[in-house]
Amino acid sequence: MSGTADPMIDAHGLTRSYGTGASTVHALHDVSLSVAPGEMLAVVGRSGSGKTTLLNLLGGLDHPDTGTVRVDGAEVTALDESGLSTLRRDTVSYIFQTFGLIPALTAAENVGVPLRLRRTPVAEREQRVALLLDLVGLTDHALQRPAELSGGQQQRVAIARALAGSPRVLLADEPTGQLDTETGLGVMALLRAVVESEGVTAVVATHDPVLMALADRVVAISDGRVEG
Amino acid sequence: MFLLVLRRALVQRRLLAAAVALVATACTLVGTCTLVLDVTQDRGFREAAQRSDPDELSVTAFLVDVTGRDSRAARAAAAHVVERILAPMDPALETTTTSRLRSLVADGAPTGSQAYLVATDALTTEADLTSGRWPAPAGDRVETVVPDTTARLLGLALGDELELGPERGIGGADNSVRLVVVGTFRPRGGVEWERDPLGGAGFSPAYSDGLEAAPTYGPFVIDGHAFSGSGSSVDALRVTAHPTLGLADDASLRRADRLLGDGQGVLSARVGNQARLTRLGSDLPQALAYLHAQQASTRSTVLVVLLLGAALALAAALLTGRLVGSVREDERDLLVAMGLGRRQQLGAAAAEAALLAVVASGVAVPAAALLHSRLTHRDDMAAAGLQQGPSITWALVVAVLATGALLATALVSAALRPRAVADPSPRARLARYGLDVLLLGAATLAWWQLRTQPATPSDTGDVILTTAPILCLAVPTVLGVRLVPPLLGRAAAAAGRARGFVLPVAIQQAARRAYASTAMVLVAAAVAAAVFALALHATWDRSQQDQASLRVGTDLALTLRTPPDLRDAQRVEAAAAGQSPAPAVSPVVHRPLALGRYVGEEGARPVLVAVDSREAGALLRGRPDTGDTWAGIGGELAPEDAPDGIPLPDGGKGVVLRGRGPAGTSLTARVTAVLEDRNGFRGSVSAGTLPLDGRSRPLEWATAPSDGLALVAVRLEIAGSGDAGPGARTPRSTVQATVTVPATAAEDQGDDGAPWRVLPLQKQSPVGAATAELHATARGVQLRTSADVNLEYFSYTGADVLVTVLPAPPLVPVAVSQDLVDAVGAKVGDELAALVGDTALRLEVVAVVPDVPSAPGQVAVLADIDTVSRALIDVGSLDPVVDGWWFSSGSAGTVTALEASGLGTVTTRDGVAAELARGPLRVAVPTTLLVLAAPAMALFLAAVALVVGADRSRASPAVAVLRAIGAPRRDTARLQLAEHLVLLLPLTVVGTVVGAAATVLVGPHLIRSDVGAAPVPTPVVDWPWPGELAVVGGLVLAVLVVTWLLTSLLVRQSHPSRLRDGGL
Repeated sequence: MSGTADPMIDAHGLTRSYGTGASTVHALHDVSLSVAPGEMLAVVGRSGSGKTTLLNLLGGLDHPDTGTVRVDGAEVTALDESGLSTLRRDTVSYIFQTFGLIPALTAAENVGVPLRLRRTPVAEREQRVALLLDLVGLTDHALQRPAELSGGQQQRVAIARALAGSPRVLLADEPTGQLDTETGLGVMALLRAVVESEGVTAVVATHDPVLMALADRVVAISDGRVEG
Repeated sequence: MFLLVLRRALVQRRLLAAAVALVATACTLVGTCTLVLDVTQDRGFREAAQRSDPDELSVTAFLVDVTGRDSRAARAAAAHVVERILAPMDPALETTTTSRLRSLVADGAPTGSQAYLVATDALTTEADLTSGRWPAPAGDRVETVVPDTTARLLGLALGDELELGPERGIGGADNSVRLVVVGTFRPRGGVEWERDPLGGAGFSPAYSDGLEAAPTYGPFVIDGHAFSGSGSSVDALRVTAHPTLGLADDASLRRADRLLGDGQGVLSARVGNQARLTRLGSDLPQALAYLHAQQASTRSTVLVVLLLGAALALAAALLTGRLVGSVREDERDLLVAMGLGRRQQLGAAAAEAALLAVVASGVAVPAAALLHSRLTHRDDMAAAGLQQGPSITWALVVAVLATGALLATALVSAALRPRAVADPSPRARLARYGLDVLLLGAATLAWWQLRTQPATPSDTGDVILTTAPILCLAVPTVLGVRLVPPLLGRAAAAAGRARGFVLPVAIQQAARRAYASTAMVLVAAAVAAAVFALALHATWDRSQQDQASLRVGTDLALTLRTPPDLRDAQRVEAAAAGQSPAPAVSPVVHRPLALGRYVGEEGARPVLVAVDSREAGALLRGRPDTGDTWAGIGGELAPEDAPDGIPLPDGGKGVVLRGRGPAGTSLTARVTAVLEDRNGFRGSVSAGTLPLDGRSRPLEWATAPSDGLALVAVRLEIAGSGDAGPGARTPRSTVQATVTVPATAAEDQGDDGAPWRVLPLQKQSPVGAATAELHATARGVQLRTSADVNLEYFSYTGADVLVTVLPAPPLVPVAVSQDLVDAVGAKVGDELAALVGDTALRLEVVAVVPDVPSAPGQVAVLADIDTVSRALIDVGSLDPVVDGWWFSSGSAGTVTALEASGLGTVTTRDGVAAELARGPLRVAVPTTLLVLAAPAMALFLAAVALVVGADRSRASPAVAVLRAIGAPRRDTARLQLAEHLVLLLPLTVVGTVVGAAATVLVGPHLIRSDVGAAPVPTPVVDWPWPGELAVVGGLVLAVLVVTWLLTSLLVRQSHPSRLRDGGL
C-alpha cells in the first residue's frame, strides 16, 4: 500500500453512452468513486449494469463522455495514445473475463510479454516469470499453451501476467465469469492473496455474491449508476 | 436451399466476389492458353505455310523418255495428277520439256559437240535475261535464248543463227532445227536448274546421257509451241503444281500428303504406257512434318504453362475454399445442430459451385478472348502475322466452363471439409511422409525421363515435356514448404531467449500458428512459377540465338547455287564494299566428305567446312568449348602465308606461251591457269590449246582476267603425236614451255620470288626431271618450265603437269566436331584420310570442338580454306572449291546487294534467330511463358492477401489484448507485420530457390529445336537478372505493402475497448 491519504483511483462524474439517437445506450451516468491505495474494491451488478464500462474508463481503455479519472495522480482522461500505453504498461494491469491470453504463446511466454514491453533483461524476466508462475501454482505448466490449460489455469496465467509488470492498479473484469464456482473461488482467493502480497490496488467487477466477501469494499452499480 | 445459398451469397458478397475473381482469373488464363493452342496455332500454321519455300510444297510429275513426238496427252495426264493432289490450294502449273541431245552443226557438218532444247514456262522466274528478249512463239524461225556461258563459249551473239542436227542415239528424230538467238540469260539456280542436264552451267566438256560423252551446250530454250513443231523427242517432261500458299492450311496439306501416297500409282496408271519412267516427287511430306514438329514443340510448352497455371489456380481455389469454410464454420455448426443433413449440405454446395462456375465463366470467356487478342497484338506476335481480333470458339467455352466447374467444385468442397486436425496422428504423419517419398520419386523419375529423352523427335516427348516441369516444380515446392515450420520453430526457440518484444514475439507467433498448408504451397509455388517462367523464357530465347548462330555459322552467309568463278568473287566483294566498318569476308567450303570408309548416313553425311581461319575470330559463330575461342582455334588451322603469284595485266593481254618439243614431234598444250584475286580467291580459267612449236602464242583466255589477278599455277596437258617421221621419236625428250607475262604488270615480281614447282598429275607420269624457274626479263616475267617426257606414252595418253608457286601442306590441319570423335574415335594428333568429291586429302586433327559452325550436330571438320585449296590444286583439282561466302557482319545494303546478285541464297544469323524465336509457330512459346509469370504474381498477391486477411479474426483479439496490457499501437502493428513477413519471406525464398533449381535442372531439357529434336548446341541457362530481381523484389515489396495495409487496418480496428465484452 502507498500509505498516503490520496486515493489511488479517483473517478468523478463519469458518463458514457453508446450509439446515437433512439438507440443510444447510457452505460454510465454520473459515476464517481475513489479507491484507496492497497484497497480491493468489488464492483457488483447485473450483466449490462455498466461494470465493464467503468473498468474500461478507469484503465484508459475507453474515454468517458464526461468526467475525469485520475490514477496514481495522473489524469487518465487527459492522456494521449502514447500516455495511455505507458499507463497500461507501468501502472494499470488488466485481467479479462475471457483471460486474454495470446494463443500462440506458452504460459511462461504470456506472462513474460509485459516484461518484454518494458525491455526487462532476459535473466530478470525469466526469474520474474518463474516466480509468478510459482505464485499462481503453474510452474509445471509453464511450457503449455493456453489451449492446453483449463479455464482456471488460464485465468491464473492471466493473473500472473497482470502482476508481471508490478502494477500499482489491477483491474479485473469478471475474472471468474468463465469458471465454475469452485475454480472461481480459488482464483478469487489467489487474487486476494496477491493483492495483499504485492500491495496493489484492485478493482474487481463481478456479479458473484460469493466473491464480494473477499473484497475490502463493495460498490453496487445498476443501470449505469452507483447505488447507495 | 437455393434461397439459403442466394441469401448467404448476398451477405458474404465480398468474400464471394473474391472467389469469383479468383476462379475467373484462372479460367481466363486457361481460356487464353486454349486460344493460343487452338486459334493461334491454326493461324500460325497457315502463316508458316505461306512463308514456306513454294518449292517445298509443290508436287512434280517426272516423265522420262516420253514416247511419240507429241507429248501433249502425257503432259495433260501428268498435270491432272499433280493438280488433283493440290486441288484445294488452287495450284498453278509449270511445265518443262527437255529434248534428247542433238549434234551441234557448224557449216553444215557436225562439230562433235552436242546440245539440247528446252521448253519451259518457268524461265522468267528461274533466270534473268542478260541481253535481248525472251523467245516468241514459233514464227518463220525458231527463236531461242541461251545461257551466258553457252553464248560465250560458242561465240553466239544476238541474231546469230545456228543449227542443231539430228537427235543422237537410236530412234531419235533425224531432222535438224535451225535456231536464231534472240537473248541470253543467267540461271538463278535453285532446284529447277538442278534438274537441267547441265545443272544450269551452260556447258560441260564431257556430258553423257548414256551414249558417248562429248562437249555439251545448252539449254537452248525455245517456246513450247516451237518445241512441238520442232519434231523433237521428249527426253524428260516435268509438270509441277505450285499451290497458292494463301490457301494452304493444315487440312489441305494433310490431304495433299495423303494423296501423294497413292499419287505414284495413279501417275503410272495414267501415263505409264507413254513414258519409260514416271515419278512423282514432292518435299511436301517433309515440309508438313516440319510444320507439325514445330507445332508439337510449341504445344508442349504452352501446355506446361496451361497446366502450371491451372495447378496454381487449383491451389488458390482450395485455399479460398478453406477460408470460406472457416468463415462459415459457426453457421454450418448451427445449421447442422438445427438438423441440416449431409445431402442438403452437398446440394447447397453443388448449387453454389454451379453458380460460381457460371458467373466466373461468364466473365472469363470474353476476358480470355480479349486478353488473347491483346497478346496477338504484341509486337512479336504481330510481326509473325498472328494478330487477330477477339474470337470465341467452342474450345474456349468448353475449356473455361470445365475449368470453372473444376475450380468451383474444389473451392466449395474445401469449404465443406471439417476443421483440420491440428496435430495429425502418427498414422496420418506416416502417410504424409510416404506421400512425400512417392512425390519425390515421381519428380525424380520425370526429371530423369526428361534428361534421357532421345535427341530426335519423339512421340512420347509431349507427355514428358508437359508433365516433368509440373512435377519438378510442384513436388520441391511442397517439400520445401514443409521445411519452413521447423525452421521457424528453431527460430522461435532462439527468440524465446531474446530481450525485445516485436521480433521475438512475432517469430514465436509465426512459428506456432496453424497455417493452411495450401496457402503456404500457393505462395511458394506462385513465386517458383514466376521465377521459372522468366528464366525459361530467357533460356529459350538464348537457345534460339545459339541454334541460329551455329546453324548459320556466321553473321551473314551467301550459299551459292552454282560453282563460282572469279567474276562472282568480284561481285561478292563489291556487295560488301560499301559497308562500314568493313566486315571480314571469306569464301567458304561446305560440302560432304568421306572419312576413310565412314560416309555417314543419308541426310547426315560428314561435312567439310573451310573458311579463312585467320578471320575465324570475327567470322565464326556458335559456342566453342569453355576457354576456347574461334580465333584461337583458327590460329591452329591457319597455314603459312603463300608466296605471291605473278600479277597479270588487265584482261590477260600480252601473256604468251612459247613451247618447244623434240624435233619431229607435233605437240600441243592445253593450258589452264589458276588465278588468285586480292582476297585470296582462286579460280581456274581455260587459256586455250596451243601448239608447242617454238613460237610465242598468246593465251586464249576463255574468260578475260580482270585487273588485280595473279597467276599462281598453270596446268599443261600436253598431247600430240611423236609421229614426225622414222627415227625422230625419242623415248625421253625435253619439252619446254615458257609463260611470259608483260613487265608492266609484273613489276613487283622478281627473280627472288618463291620457287615454283612442277608436279606431275598422273599416277604413272611420263614426265621426269621437271624444273620451273622464274626470270625477270625486259619483256616481263618468264615462267620457264622444262621436263623430260617419255613420248611413248603419247600413243595412248599425254602428259599432265602442274606448275605452281603454292606450297602444299603435307597434312591439312582440321578441328573436328565431337560427333566426329564419337563416330570414328579420332583424337588430337590423329591423321584422317578424307575424300572431297573424288579428291583425296590427308587431314590432321589439331583440335576438337563441340560443333563446327554451320554443321550443328554433325560429323564435321573445320579447316582453313586456303590450305584446302592448295591441297586440292596440288593434286590437280583446279576448279574453285567454294560453296559460298561468309561475312562477319551484314548491313541491310550488303544483304540487298547479295540478293540482287542472284548468286545464291542469303541467310543472316539474325534472320534465322528471328524465325526460330519469333516464327509463326514458335512465337507462342515466349509469349505464353511471359503470360504465366503475370497470373503467377497475381495469384501470389491474392494468396498473401487471403492469408493475411483471413488471419484477422484470430489476430484481432490478440492485438487488442497486447494494446490493453501496454503495447504501443505502433509496436503492435510492427508485430503483426513481422509475424506475416517471418512466414511469407521464407516462403518467397523457397519459391525462388525452387524456381531457380527447376530452371537449372529442367529448363535446358524442356527446350527443343524447331523440329522437336534436342537443340544444338545444348541450351545453357540464361538468367535474366534484372527481370528476376524485379519480379522477386516486386513480390517482396508487394508482400510488405499488402501486409502493412492489412495489419494497419487490423490494429486500427482492434482497439482494446472492444475487449469490453469479449467480443473480439
